[in-house]
Amino acid sequence: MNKLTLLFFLLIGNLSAISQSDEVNYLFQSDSGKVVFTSNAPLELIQAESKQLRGIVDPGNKTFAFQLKTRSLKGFNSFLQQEHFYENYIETEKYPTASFSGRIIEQIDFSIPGEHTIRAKGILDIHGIKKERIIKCSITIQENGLFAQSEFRVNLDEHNITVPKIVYQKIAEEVMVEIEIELHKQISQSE
Amino acid sequence: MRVRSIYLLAYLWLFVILTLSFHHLGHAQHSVFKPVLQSSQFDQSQFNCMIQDNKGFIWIGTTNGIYIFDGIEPKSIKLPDSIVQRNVSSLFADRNNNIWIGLENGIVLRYLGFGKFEVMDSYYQNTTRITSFAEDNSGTIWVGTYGQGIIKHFNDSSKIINSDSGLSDNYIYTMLLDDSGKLWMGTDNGLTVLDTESSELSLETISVEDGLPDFIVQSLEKDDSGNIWIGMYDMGICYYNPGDKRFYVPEFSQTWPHGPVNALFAMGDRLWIASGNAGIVEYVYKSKSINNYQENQTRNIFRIKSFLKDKEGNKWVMAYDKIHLSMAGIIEFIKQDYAPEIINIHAMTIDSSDRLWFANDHGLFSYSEEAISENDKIKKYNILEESGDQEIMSLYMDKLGILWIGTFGQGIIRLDPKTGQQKLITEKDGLVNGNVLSIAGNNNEIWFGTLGGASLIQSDDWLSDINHIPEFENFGKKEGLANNYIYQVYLSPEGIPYFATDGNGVLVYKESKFESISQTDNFSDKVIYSICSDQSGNIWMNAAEDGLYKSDGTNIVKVTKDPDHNNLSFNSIVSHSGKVIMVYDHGIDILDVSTNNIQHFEENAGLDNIKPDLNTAVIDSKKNVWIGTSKGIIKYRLPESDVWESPVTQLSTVSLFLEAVEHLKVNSFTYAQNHLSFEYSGLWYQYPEKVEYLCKLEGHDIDWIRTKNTRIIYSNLKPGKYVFKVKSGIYDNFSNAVPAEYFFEISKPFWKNRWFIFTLLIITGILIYLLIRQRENRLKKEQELIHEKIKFQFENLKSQINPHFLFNSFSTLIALIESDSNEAVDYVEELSTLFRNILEYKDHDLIALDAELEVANNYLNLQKKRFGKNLIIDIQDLDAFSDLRIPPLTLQLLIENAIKHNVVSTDNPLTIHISINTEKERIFVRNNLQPKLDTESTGVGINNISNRYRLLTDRNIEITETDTEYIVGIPFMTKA
Repeated sequence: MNKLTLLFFLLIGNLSAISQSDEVNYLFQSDSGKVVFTSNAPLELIQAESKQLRGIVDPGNKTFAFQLKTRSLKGFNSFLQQEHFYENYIETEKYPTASFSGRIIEQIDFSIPGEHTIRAKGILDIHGIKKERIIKCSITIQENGLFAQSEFRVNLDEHNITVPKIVYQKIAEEVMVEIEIELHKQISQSE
Repeated sequence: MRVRSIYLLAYLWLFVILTLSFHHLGHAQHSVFKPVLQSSQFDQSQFNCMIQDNKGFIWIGTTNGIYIFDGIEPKSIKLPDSIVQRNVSSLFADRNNNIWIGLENGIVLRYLGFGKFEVMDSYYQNTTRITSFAEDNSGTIWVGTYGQGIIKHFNDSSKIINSDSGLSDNYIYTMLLDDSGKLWMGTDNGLTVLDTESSELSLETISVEDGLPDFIVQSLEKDDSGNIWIGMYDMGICYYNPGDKRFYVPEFSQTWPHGPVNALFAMGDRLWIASGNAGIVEYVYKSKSINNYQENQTRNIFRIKSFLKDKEGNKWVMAYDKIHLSMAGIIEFIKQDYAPEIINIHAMTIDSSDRLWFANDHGLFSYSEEAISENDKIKKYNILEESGDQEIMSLYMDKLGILWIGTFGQGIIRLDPKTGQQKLITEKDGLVNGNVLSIAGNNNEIWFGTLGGASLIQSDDWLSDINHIPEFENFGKKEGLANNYIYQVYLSPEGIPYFATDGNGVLVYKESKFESISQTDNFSDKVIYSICSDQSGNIWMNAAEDGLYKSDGTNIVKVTKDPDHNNLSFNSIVSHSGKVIMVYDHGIDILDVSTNNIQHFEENAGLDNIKPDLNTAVIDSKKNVWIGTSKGIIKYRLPESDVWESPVTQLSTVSLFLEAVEHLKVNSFTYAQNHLSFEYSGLWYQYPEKVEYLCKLEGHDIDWIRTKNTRIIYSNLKPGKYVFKVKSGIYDNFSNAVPAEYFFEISKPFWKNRWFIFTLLIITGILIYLLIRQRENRLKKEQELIHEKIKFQFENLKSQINPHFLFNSFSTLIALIESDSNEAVDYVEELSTLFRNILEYKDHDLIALDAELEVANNYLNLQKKRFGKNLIIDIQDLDAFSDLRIPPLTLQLLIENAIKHNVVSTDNPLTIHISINTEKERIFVRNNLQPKLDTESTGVGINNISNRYRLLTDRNIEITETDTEYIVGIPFMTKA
C-alpha cells in the first residue's frame, strides 16, 4: 500500500493541476499490467512482453499515470537480441523507465459499471524523449476495478531511437504497443 | 490566299494528329500548388506558422526562429539574444502592424521593426506553448496558451484567464474572433466562447452535451455566411450556425477516417480541411462534394500547419517541411472518374442552365458541376453513324434547347438532348460549306462560320422540329465577304455579327453589307482567330502571331504585350467583368480592361503546355470561365475584387554606408553621410521573379532607372533635398504602380551654411573695423605726440632762450666775468652744454635718467650761480637707476617751474628735492611752497609734461600741493 502511494506521487507528482477531488475518494491501481510490443519489419518479427506495468487512475480529476521498467521487457528472439535492445535502442541503463501520464479527455462516470472508449492525452516518455500523445483506450468499469486495453504505435524516430541502416530490414520504424491492465479500486487513505 | 488555305488545312490536320498522339499526357487535377519554400532553405528547421503583415510581407515561424519573405528570398529576423529557445509556435500581425511572436516555451515577443523586440515580461510566468493570437475590436490582444488558458493583453498590462476563472479547459488549440466580437476557443473540452464586448468576464462552454461531436477541437474557421466551422480530433468537421445555435455535421464527416483536423480554410464556395492522415480534403458546400487532394499531385503535402490567403488572393499551404502556393483565382482541372479521360477538347459551349457541352476525340459529352447524382454529372451522346467519322469543330445550343454540332467536312448535326434525336445537315441542304468552325446565335438568328463562307438562318420556332431543314442564306465573296475562311463568328450583345477571317482581319455585317472593322490596311490583312467584346462595347481581337487588338469603334490599337511572350497567338479570347481572358498554348492571361494589367497563369499555376484548340473557352452565368484544352477542361474563377492586382512596392531598408537606419524616423543626414542604399520589394507572390522596378532619386536622377535588382546604392551624394521613389511592375506595366517614397535631406557642411558665412563676414568686418580704428588711434596718437613734442620743443626752446633767462644768465655772466673770469668761462661752458643737451634730446621720446639728471644739474648749476645759497638742491643719489627712462627735459622743466613760481631769497631759501619712489614707480620733484605774488601761472609747462605722458603711457603725472609743499611725481619707464 505504501509502495503504491509512493508510486502514485512519483508518477502523478509532476503533473500540474492535480488535486484530490472531494467527491471521489478512491483510485484505480495496478502493478501487474501487460505490455506487448511488436516490431514487424520486413525480415523479422520481434516481440517482447512485460507483466510489470504499473498504473494508477484517479477518477476524481481524470488523471492517470503508467510506468514500465524497461528492463522488464522479456521475450525477443534470442537472449542476445534482448541485450542488444536493452543496450543500443532502449538504453535501459540511461532510461530505466518509460511512462505515460496525463488526463482523460472524455467525461465519464467511473462509479457506474460499463464499457467506454476514451482518449487519454498525456506525455509519452520513452527513451528520455517526451511526446504529447492522444491514445485511444477502451475501458471497462467494474464493481471493484477497471480494465483498460489499448493499442498504439510508437514512431522510433520521434523518440530519438535510431536504427542503423543495416538493420532497417529487421526493425520496424514504427513499433506496435499493446496494453492490457486490470486496475483495482483502492479507497484512498488520504485525509 | 492559296498558301494560307494550305497552311490552315495543315494546321487543322496537325492538331487532329497531335490530339490523337498525346492521350497519355492528360490527367485530372484540382487546384494547382507550386512549392515555394522548403525547410532545407531554413537550416532544416521545420515550419510552424505563417502570416502576412499589413504591408504584404509573409512571416514564417520555424522551430528555430522567424523569417520574412518577399517572394524571392526568406530573410532571417534576429531574435533578441535573451531568447535561447527559438521555437516559434505562433505569429500574429495586429492592426498597428506590430508582429506578435509566440514561442513554444510560452514567451511572447512583439516586433517593433528595425530589429527591435519587446519581450512581454509579464508573460514569463507562462511556460506553455503559445498557440494562437486574436485581436478584438477594442484592440485587446488575446493570447492562447497550451496549458495555462488565455492571456488578455491590453494597454501593456496582462491578465490570465484559466480554469480558475471559469475557462472549461486550459489547453487552447486555436482561437477565432467572430463578427459579433465573440472569441471562440477550441480546447480539449469542446468550445469556449468569450464575449470580448462584455465588460464582465463572460464565458460559455459548448461541448459534447450541446451537440458537438467531439471534445477535442483543434481548428476553427469562419465562412462567408458566418458559420463557424469546427475541426475536431477524431470526428472530422462540423459547423455551428450562430442563427439557430445548432451544430451541423456534413454527411461525409459522419464517418471520418482522415484523422485530426489541424487547420481549416474557408474560401468562397468551399472549405479546405487539413487532415492528419490525408493531407488536404476539399469540401464544396453546394454540391456537398469532397475532393481528396491526397490522391493527386499534392500527395506530399502532409502535416499541414497553416493556411493563409494573401492580399493577392493566393492561397498558401504550410506543411512542416514545405510551403506551397496556389494562385489567386481558382484554377482547377475538372476531374471526373470517367474513362476514357476527358482530354483533347475540340469544341465547347454552355447552355442556359450552365451545363457544359464539349466534344473530344471520343465524342460528345455534357457536364454539370452541380448535378447531385453522379450519373447526371457527365453524359455521353452518341452521334449519328450516318454522319461518318466526324471531327466536331463547333457547338452551339439554341434557345429551344437544340444542340448544333459543327463538324469538319460533314456539315452540321442537330441534336435534341432530351430525345437523343439527331439530324444531319450538309451542303446538299443549302449549307454553304461542310467545314463548320464556328456557330453563334441569339434569339433571332444563327450564324455559321465555315471554310467556304458564312451561312445564316432565322432562329424561328420551326427549329423545334428536329427534322426541319432551315433555309440558309449564304455569304461568300460574291456577297462581299472578303474571305471565305472564317475562324469565328462572334455576335455582339447588340446582335452585330463579326467574322474573324484568315487574312482579311475582322469583317462586320451591317445593313446587309460586309465591311472591314478597320479602315487601315495594316489591320485588314491580318489572320484573326478570335473575337470578343467587353462591357464598354470595345471589340477585342487576336491576330495570329501578332497579339491582341482593341477596337473602340473608331480606332484600332494594339494592346501592349508582354515582351517575354514568344507566343502571341491566343487560341481563344473571352471577356467578362472588365477582364479579357486569353487562352494560349502555355496558359491563360487575364487582362484588366481598365488598367491593362495582365496576370499570367502558366506553369506557376500548373498550366504549362495546355495547347487548347481554337475558340474553346466559354463563360457560364456564374462567371466561371471554362476552357477546353488538350489536357482537359480548366475552370477558372476570377479572384475577389478586393485583391491586389499588381505588385505592391515596399521600401524595406534604407542604409547609410550599408548600415541600416530607422528610416521611418531618420531623414536628415550630414554632409559626410552621403552614401545611401535602398532596399525594396515589389510584392507579387504569383510571379516574384517577373517583378521589375523603376527607381528614381529625385534631386539626383533625371529619369527612372529600370532594374531587376532589389537594392540600389547612391554614393557621394551632394548636400540637398532628395526623394527616393521606387515602383514595381510586371510585364512592363507600371501604369498603376504606387511608388514607395523616402524623403531625406543631406545638409551642407557647416562652413557652407548661410548663417556660418554670414557670421564669419560680420566677425571679419568687426575685426577689420577694429584694426583700422586701432591704427587710426595709433596714428592720431603719434600725430599728437609729434605735435606735443614739437610744442614742447618749442616751449622748451622758448623757455630756455626766453629773454629773462638770457638776461639773468647774462647778468650772472657779467658779474662772473668781473669777479672771476675762470668761473665765467665755466659758466658759459655750462650754458652751452645745457643748450647742446636740449638740442640733442629734444627729438627723443624718452631719455635715460642719468642724461636727464645731467641736464637738470647743468641747469641747476647755472641757477645756483645766480641764487647762491638761497637755492638748495637735494638730489637723491640716483646712480642705481640710471637705466630708467623719462621724457627728456622733464626734470629740468620742473626745476625751472619751481624757480620761476617761488620766491628765492635769503630769508626764504628755495629747496628742491629730487627723489625716487620705486614702489610708486615715480620720481618726485618737491619744493617748499612760497609762491611769488606777481607771476601768474600759465600752466604751460606742467600741461606739456602731462600731455606727453598721456601719449606715451596710461600713467599720468601726479601733482600734490599742500600748504607748504609743491610735489610733482613723474612716472618713469623701465628700459623696454
